[in-house]
Amino acid sequence: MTNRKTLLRETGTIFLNGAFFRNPVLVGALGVYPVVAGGYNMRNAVELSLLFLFLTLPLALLYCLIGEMMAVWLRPGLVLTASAVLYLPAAWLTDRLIPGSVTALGMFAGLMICNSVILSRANDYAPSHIGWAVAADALGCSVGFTAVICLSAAIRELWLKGGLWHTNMGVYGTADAGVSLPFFGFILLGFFAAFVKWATQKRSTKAEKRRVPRV
Amino acid sequence: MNTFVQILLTALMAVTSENILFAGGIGFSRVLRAAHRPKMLGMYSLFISVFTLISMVAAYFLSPLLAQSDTLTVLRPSLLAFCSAAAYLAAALLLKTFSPQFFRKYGQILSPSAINTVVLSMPYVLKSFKLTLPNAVGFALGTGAAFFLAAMIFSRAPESCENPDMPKAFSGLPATLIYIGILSMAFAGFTGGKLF
Repeated sequence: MTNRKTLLRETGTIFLNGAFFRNPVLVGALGVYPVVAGGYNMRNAVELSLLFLFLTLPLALLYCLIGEMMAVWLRPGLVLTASAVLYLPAAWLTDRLIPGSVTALGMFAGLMICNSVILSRANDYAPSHIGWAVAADALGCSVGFTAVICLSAAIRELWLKGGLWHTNMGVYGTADAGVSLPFFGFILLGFFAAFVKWATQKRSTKAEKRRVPRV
Repeated sequence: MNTFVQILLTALMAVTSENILFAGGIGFSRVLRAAHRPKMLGMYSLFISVFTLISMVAAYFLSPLLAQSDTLTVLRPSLLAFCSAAAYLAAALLLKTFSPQFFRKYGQILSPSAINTVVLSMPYVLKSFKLTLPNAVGFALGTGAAFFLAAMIFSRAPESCENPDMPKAFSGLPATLIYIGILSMAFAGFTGGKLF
């Protein structure tokens, strides 16, 4: 019972770290490209988030099973190969949920194969951790990625079109002007990263105070 | 001579007006990691140039074949990723076999420089810009040079991005991201908006 509780608590901590406190995009500066270049409207953001989830979870679980069996120098090439294979069902599933999404995303979808968050989780984290931890980490990173890209896309589309999901203008935000360009994505990410850093600092200060008993 | 000038001009274009790093937002996770290893920056960028060149040339010859059927068009991103994986595995195997000392020293930067969005974006660049073979070669080499310049800039960034006068929450990565954003804005002025 205690073991199960500990496992649940640790799984929760791993999930929360991936989603917020060690968010791979805002703390690790990984997988920045889809957020700054592709996440300029909510539709793109949701589609890329789904693709991310369908790609990262099976890939991380696969490398949790087989990662340790292969030489370290071989692993990056084989992770990319597996990612390229798993991209096909992931793209199919995303396209089933939002018809026409993968074609509309174009290179943003294709480049998810080598997204550095997905590859680093499968290459470095998954082989040396147990299945629960890997699944929690993959789900946490997916939630973290989704939160960042959706928040950024919402701000950009609202600014550009005055509405979300083409409700206002009848067209989705396009990547041809102002805040939809990558530079604004970088600036937004800078502010989001500062917020996460501030929250993490607050949390550590609180934990420190709890550890040191008052005299 | 004409071909050489074409290569040079496209390389210059890849560093300035069509810079996929700053104007396209591609590959910054790698740029920042390369910037953390200033001693290996030259070799990192050389590897990037070699792999972007391989990716571009492979895409140049494979694209007409992949456009022949609808199934191959759907498989295109995966097939191009296979090519990059094969290029990395072949390079690692060759270096490990024929130059183990070199591989021991630089093996750690071989995979990040072979497997990244900069390298995998080359087939899309080729398609979007409709490049000829000399232009494609120039663009790939220019992108390697652009990577080197970007990493050089950010290898000096920590001094200013960890300035104690700025709010603590902005110190480090947040300031670096805003710094990238400002430079990227300048490059957006060169491109005049959307790159792809």
